[in-house]
Amino acid sequence: MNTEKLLKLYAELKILVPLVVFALAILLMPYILRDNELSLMGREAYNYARIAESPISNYDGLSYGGRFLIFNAYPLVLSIASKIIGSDLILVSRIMPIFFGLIALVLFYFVLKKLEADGFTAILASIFLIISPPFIYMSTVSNVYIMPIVLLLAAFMLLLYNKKLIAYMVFSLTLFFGLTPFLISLALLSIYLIKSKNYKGLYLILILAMFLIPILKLGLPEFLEFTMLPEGVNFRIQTFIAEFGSETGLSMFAILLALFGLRQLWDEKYRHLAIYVVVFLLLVISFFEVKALMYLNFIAAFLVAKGVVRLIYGKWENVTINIIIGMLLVIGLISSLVFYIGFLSDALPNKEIIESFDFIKQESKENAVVFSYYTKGYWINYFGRRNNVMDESFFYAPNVNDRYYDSNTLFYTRNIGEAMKITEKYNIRYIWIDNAMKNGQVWKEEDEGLLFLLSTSKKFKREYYNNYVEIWKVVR
Amino acid sequence: MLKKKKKGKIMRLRSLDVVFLIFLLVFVFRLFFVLQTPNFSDNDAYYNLRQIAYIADNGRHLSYDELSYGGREIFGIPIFSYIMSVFYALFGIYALKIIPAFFISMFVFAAYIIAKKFTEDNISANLAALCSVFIPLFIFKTLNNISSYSLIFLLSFFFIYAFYRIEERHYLILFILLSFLLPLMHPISFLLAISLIMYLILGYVENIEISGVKKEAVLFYIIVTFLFNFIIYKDAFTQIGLGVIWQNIPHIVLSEFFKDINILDLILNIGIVPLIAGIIGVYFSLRNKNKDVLVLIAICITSILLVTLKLLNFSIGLIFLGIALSVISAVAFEKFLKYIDLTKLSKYLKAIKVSMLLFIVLTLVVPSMLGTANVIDNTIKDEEIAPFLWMKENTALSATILTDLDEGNLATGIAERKSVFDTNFLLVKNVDSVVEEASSLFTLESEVKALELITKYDVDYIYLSEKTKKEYGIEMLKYGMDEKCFEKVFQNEYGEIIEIIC
Repeated sequence: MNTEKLLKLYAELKILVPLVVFALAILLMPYILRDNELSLMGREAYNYARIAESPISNYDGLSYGGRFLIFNAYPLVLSIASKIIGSDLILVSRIMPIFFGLIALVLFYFVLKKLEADGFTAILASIFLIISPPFIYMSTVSNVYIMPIVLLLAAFMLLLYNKKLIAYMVFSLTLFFGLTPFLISLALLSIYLIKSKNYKGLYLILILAMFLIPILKLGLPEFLEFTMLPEGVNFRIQTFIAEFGSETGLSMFAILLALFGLRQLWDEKYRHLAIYVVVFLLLVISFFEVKALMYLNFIAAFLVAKGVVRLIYGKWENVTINIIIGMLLVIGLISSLVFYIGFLSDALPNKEIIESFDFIKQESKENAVVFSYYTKGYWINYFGRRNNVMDESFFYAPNVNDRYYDSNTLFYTRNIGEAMKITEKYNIRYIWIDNAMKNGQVWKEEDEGLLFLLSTSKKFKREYYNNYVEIWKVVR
Repeated sequence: MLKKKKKGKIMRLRSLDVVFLIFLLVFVFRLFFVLQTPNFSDNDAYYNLRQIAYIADNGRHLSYDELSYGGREIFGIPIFSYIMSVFYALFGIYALKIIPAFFISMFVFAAYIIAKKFTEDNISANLAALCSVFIPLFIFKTLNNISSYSLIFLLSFFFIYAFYRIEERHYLILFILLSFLLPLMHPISFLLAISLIMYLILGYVENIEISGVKKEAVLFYIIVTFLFNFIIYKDAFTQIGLGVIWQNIPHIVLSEFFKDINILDLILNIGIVPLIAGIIGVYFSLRNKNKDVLVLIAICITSILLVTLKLLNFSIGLIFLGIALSVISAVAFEKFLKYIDLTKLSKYLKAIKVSMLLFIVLTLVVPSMLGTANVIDNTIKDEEIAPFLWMKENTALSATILTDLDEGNLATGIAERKSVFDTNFLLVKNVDSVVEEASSLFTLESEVKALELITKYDVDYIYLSEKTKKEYGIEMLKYGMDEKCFEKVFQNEYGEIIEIIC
């Protein structure tokens, strides 16, 4: 390595080290503020931690009362990391997202630099990425998207450095992290290839798509006949905006600044067509899979940086208005960060939830089925180590639509005969209810449907309750 | 030269004198009617009265209302209530009648300076200002009640004036201040934000060049409005999403808030002069590419659009439309007078001006006076208040009272007891079923069902007013015959109170 290269590396490190330290501080905040006993945040982290216990197995005995499991490399990565570090899966589930988040940040910075973004824009974009809710979520809550995002960024960087073969190999690895990340990777790669006029490369897409053939052998998954919204989300628009309670939503202040950024790009009209297409595509995908916002977030961070640059250097006829707009948005972004860290550190499960599952674990038989709203399914499996009727893994889940409709029937029926029929069909032994379910997630009225039956019928006996949870046993 | 300057000054003073006279006329007109009764015409005024009294006593607003719907959160910062609480603390309840009337009367100045901005003709501007403050609906909806609208209309039009003159430093400051204040005061700030977007679109369509600073000001206002409203109503957005636009109003009463617009409504509520002169003014302004009037045209279009799409309360939409058309009518008056000046009728110009004034008085002021007398006649009477005062004196502090929807605020505001339901719907859980079930308690026949609901809503007293009887077409509560359960504890000519004793 010659001196010039060393100096260049030193210059980059001078920027990257503070960025990484800043990112680390932000990413540790939710865990610092969170009660340590509550361990992981959210729901899906527990699912992957449990699957990581036997990552190669293609059968999950607890989810949906036992189901076929499609291989996903993420639990395997957790498992391997756990063995290397010599730590339990919970700690690894905390460390790994942060670790990969930091790698994603570094890769993002280098990709921007390589794409000839000026240094100031690249630094700004990296800062806005760090303080963006989807990035914080992605890098603190153990989730399946973090790895394919890192791979995707790495592959793009390799492409930019003209290491095509390795890049395509890295691209293909995203397949092992689920169908959606793989399809998103394929779509983004296609757009990149078209933009760089590498039409021959499109054949590669076909080859990569052939990786999907083994999945087709399983037959098409059951098409969901119901729509599901993330927990705490009542309306679709909420899923896109973090301030409205969305886990992976973008900050509305970032959205506004990103619009400025888009306006900046529009000065060069269709030169940035690929960015517009990617933004549009990811927005459309986000309607169906809200986690796709994590991908969009990287482009949003770049656009926010562009927007800020426009605010700073743009031609404004009135400087006062310019300054106030800029200040409002920056203050907004910071307050959004504070709000989001608080939101994440307070994320469920709480102590009451964990304690309630201790009861189930101690009091019920190993093959007992616990019924609850489907978003509680992962907790039933992880904390209770018992079967659920359904959870959020809908892909290739057995009779997913039937289970959903039966669950709804059970939730809303006031007919004891009908309720008992469903409990027998799924061999339900316990019904697990929390305050969220009683406050609108499932029921709106105090004596609605199953709640009425629970309080009036002798077929149900309350076995456990605390401030947040109650558990009812089905008496047969 | 000096003489000319002096003359000009005298002329300007005279013109201001006229505006001041209109202001006095409107103020005295309003005070005359408002001070005829110690009570307020609108039940919602009693909710605001409670909020103002609370601020005056505690120095902060009620953020959780223990009485409404048996307890509910209150959103936003009631800036208007804070302002009124100062006057209330200093001068007592009559300040709450005089100050809103003063604010509304001040609107004449806002209308005048805007009209003057694009006509440069004093008489036309004065006539337009006169029209704007005598729009029937504007008077009926803002007379003898405590509503933030009395200040919002005034500030909104000063905001528009500041926008016109934003290139000047003082007006820039005023614009920025009002840009922060309006979104904090009321969600109606959205109407102005959408109107400004419409203004940019109209400018683009009509090929009218809009200065860079104005575009920046529009952007600034939009950002502030959306951000403030999203922050203030964050929880409401989180819980009911875009339903916030409809304020969680239950379906049964939604049709009263959002109606279809028709020409008869326009004539009756806005008045024939502002409507016709306003439309003519719009035509001439667009033909002459008058960019100042474009903002008001944008407000007209936005009001019609939002009312038609049922996104804006019918009355408020029509008032905005009416006052915007009134101000625009200055263009038509100016054109008309200029045209007359060119014809042989020019020698009768003064007589024509007087005729115009008389016509406005006949078609706007007189109907408004008649309508106002009707509003005052229908104001809540002392005898109507008496049952609530009785409840305040004779019931337990924790008692819950069932009244009809419109009277809910009287239960909380005067009796200071919990209401089963009232007109503050935002963030009330299951508002449809609450309103439906509570209303059904006036018409139910089965005592068992009634008692079930009475237990559910923890009702201790039912107030059955003559208005309620008329509304539901009942003479009495059909299930209320059982003396073991229902005891009449108060009665006067306006209503009766039934205590639930079982």
